[in-house]
Amino acid sequence: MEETQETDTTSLISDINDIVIHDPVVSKSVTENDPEPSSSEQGSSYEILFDQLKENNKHIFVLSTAGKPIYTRFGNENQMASLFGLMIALVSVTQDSNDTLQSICCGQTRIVFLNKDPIILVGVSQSSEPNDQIKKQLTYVYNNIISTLTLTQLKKIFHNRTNFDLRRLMSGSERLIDKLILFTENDPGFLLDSISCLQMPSSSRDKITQTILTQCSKIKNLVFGLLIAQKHVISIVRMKKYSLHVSDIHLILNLINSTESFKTAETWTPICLPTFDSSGYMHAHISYLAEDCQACLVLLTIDHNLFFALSDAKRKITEKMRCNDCLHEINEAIIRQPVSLARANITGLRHLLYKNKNRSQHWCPPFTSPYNTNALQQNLMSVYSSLISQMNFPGRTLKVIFQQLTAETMLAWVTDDVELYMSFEPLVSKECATNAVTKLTQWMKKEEDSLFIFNIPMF
Amino acid sequence: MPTEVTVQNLYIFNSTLSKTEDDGAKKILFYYPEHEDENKKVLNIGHIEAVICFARNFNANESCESLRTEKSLQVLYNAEPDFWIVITVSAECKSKQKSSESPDEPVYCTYNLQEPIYLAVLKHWYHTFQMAVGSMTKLMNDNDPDYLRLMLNKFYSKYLQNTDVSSHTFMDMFQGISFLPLDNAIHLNAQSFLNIIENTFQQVHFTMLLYNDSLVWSGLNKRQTQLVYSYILMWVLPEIAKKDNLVKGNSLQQCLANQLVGRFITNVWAVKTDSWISDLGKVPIFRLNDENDETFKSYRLVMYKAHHSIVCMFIKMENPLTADLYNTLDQFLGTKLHLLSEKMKNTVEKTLASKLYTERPAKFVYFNGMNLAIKNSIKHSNTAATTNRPSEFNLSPDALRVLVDISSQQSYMHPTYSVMIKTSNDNWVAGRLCNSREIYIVLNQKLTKLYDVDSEIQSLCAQEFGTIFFYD
Repeated sequence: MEETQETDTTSLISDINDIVIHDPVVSKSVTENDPEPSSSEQGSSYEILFDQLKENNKHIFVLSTAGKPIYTRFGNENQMASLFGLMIALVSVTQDSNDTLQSICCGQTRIVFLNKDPIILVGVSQSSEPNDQIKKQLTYVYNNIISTLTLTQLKKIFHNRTNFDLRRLMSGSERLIDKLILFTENDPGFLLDSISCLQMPSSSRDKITQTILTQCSKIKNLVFGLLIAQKHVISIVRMKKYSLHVSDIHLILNLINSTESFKTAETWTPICLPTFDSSGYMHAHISYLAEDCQACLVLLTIDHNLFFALSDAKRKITEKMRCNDCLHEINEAIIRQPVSLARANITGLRHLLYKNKNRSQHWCPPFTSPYNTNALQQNLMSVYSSLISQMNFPGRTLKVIFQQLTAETMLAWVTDDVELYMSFEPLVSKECATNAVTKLTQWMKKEEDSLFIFNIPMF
Repeated sequence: MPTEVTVQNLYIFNSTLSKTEDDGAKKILFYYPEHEDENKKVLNIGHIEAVICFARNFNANESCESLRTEKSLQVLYNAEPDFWIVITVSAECKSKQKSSESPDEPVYCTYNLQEPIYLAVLKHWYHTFQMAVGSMTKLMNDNDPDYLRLMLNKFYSKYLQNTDVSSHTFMDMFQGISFLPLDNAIHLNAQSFLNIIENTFQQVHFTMLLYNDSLVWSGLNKRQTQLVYSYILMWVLPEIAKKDNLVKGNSLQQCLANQLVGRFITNVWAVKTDSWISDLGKVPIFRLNDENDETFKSYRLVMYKAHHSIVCMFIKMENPLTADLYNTLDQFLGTKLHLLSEKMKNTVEKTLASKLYTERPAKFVYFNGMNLAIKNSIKHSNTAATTNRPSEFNLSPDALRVLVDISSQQSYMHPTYSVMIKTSNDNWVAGRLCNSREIYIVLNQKLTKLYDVDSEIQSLCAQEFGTIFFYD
C-alpha cells in the first residue's frame, strides 16, 4: 500500500555519483550552456545589480574556492563574476599570510566571510547586525549544503574537479536555503540555539513519547525519532549514547516545513546531519501521522534498507495513537491558542524569550500589543538579537543587562539554567523589573511542564 | 586571560599617487615600521585598497572602517578624499597553560580588540597633525608629495615613539579636557587676567590658562582647545616635570636674567617650531582660526609658567618674538600669574575640604560632548578635580571593554539611553547618555538587586554631579 517516493535529494545523490565517477563531461556541457548576456545588456544589468547589492538588507553568497558561483540569495549569480572574483582574491591574499579573513565593517554594513574549504560563504548585512550572528547564519547555510551532499562528497567533488559547478547538484536545495535564511532571520530558536516545543499537558506528551518509543525500540539501527508540528517539536526519542544537536533539528524542521510533498506521501530520503556526523548520510523516513492529524514523524536510521520496517512502525504508531486518543490530543494542541504572557500577570511586561539552557528549549509567547505590526515585531527581534549577542560575546560574557531604550526597557538575565530576555514598558522601575524576574521564574515552574520536553527517553 | 596587544603597522597612503602597477610604492606617504620590506608595504596597501573597493559595492556612502582577520584588526580612517590612515593591531592571549596539542602556537583573541579605541587614536593624531601642519591635500598641492611625506614622517614617528597605542583602553577614547572647578569670583578673576593680557599685548591673539593639568579658561574654540590641551599634556607637562628644561639648552636665561617669579617654556617638541632669535629658544607653531573666520592662520605659541599655572599665548606670525617682548611679558605676567595661581590653589583645596564624601568602591568617567569636558576617577589628575578618592580596586580589562561596547552602542542607537550591566565577575557597569553628556560607572560591589545598583549610582551621581541633570 505504500510506495516509495524518490525525492529531489535522492536523485541528486545519484547524480553526484554519475557525474563524479562516471561522467564528468555532463557537468562541463552544462556550464558551457549557461546563457551569457550580451554585452549591452550586461552594462545596464550591472547597474541594476549593484543597486540591488546596496538595497537588500541581507545578502548571502556561496562560491567555491575556485571562484565558481554556487548560491546567491538575490539576483543572478552569473552576473556577479567580478564580485566573486574580488571575494576570492581577498580571501586568498589573507590566506597567503597564514591568516583567515573574518569581517569588514563599513558604517552600518557588515560583511562576514566564512571559509570552509572547498567553499566560501559571504554574508552582507545592512543593519549593523552582530558579526557572530551573520557568521552563524553562514554556518547554517553551509550545514544545509552538507546535509544534502555530506562533507565527504563535497570534498571529493572538488578534489576531483576544482572547477566543478556545484549548482548542478544544488538545483533542489536552493529553495531550502532561501527558507533557511528566512528562518535564521525570524526565529528566536536560531538566536538562542534552542528549539520550540508544542505546548501540551505533560501527561499527553509522555503518552505520545511512550507510544513512539515502544515501536522504535524494536527496530535495530534506528537512531532518532522526532514528532514535529509545524515549527514546534512534540517529542524526541533517541538511541542510547546519541543525541540530536539543536542546529541539526533546525535543519530537519526547515526541510519539513519547506516541503509540501511530504504531506501527501511518505518519503524515504538520505540526509546528512552535519553536527552529528558530517561524513555520512542517515536515512530519514518522513511522514505525516494521518490525514486528520498534521504532525510529522521523522525516523532517522543509518540502515538504508530499513524503509519497510520504518513504514510499518509508523503505521503501528498511528494506529496506537488513534486508539489511545493521542492524535486527538495533538490536534487539540495544534489548534489551541498558545499560552499568552498575560496569564503570568506581570505588570509592565510586554514580551519575553525564555530559554531553558539545560534542555536547549525556549518559549516565545505570541506577540501582543503594542507589537501589532510586522515591523514592530521585527524591531523587537533585532533588539533581542543585539542583547543575546552582547550577553554571549566571546571573552566577555555578561550576566545581566538592563537597558532603557526609547520605545521599551529591556532586561536580559542569565543564570546557570535559564536565559531570560524581557521587554517592558519604557518607564518601568528597576524594582518592578527585578520583581518581574522572580515572579516569572515562579510562574514558569508551574507552566514549564507543558512548555518544554523534559523526557527524552533512550532505547 | 591577559591579552597582549601589538601594533603591527600604521600607514598612510593615497592611491591616486600611483599611476601604473610598477610604481605602487609611490602611494605610500608614511609607513611604520619603517624597515618593513618594500614589497610587503605595497602588498598590504594593495590589500586594503581592494577591501575598500569591495566594500563600496555594498555601501557607497560610508567609508570602510575596519577589517578583521583571525589574527588582527585593521582600523581605517578616510581622513581626506583619497587619503587613508590605517592601523593594524593584533592580540594574543597569554594563558598560563598552553594548549597541549600545539604548545608554541600562539592563541589569538582579536575579539578583545575594539575598533573605537583605535579609530579615536587615528582621528586625534590626524586632527593634531592638521592643526600643526595643515591638510594633506593642501600640503601636497602646495608643495609636493615628498614634502608631505617628510612632515608625516616627522609627526607620526614621534607620536608612535611617544605613545603606547597597544596599551590604549576606554580611557584614551575621549581626549577630553579636565576643567578646574572654581567658584565664580575666581573664575572671573582668571578670565579678566587673560583679557588684560590680550588687551595689553596686541600681538597676543588667543590665550589659554592651565592650572596643573586642568584647564581654567581658553579663548580657542572647543576642538582647538582640545587639541592644544592634549598637546600640552603630552609634550609640555612631562618636560616640566623633568624640571631642568624650562629654559633648556638655550641662553634664554641669560637674555632674561630677571625671570624671578615665572619662566618661559621653550624648546618643547612640536612638529613645526620656530625661533625668532635662536638664543630665545624654539616655540611651537599652530594653525588656528577665529570662530567667525574660516581661514586658518599660523600662530606661535609662547608658554609662561608661574607657580602651578601655565598661560599660553598665541602670537601672530608677523609679530617678532624679541627679547624685549619676552622681558615685558615676564614683568607683566610674573607676579600676577603667581598670585592668581595661589588663589586658585586655595579655592580648590577649600572646596575639596568642605565637600563631605563617602568612599565608594566605584569608578566613573563623565564626558560632555558639548564642551569636551571630562571628569573621572580612573586616571588621576594631580589637581584632584574629583572628590572621589582613588579606591583600591583596579578596573579589569574586561570592564573597560564593556565600557567601550556601551559607548559605541550609545553613539549610534539612541539619543537618550541608560544601561546597567553585570559582568561575568559580578561587577556592575553602567552607562547613561543624555544631551551629549555621557557617564560611565563601574561598581565593585556584590550587589544582586537592580534597584540597589541603581540607588548606588544615584548617590554617586548626586555626590559628583549634583548640578548635572540626567535622564533616569
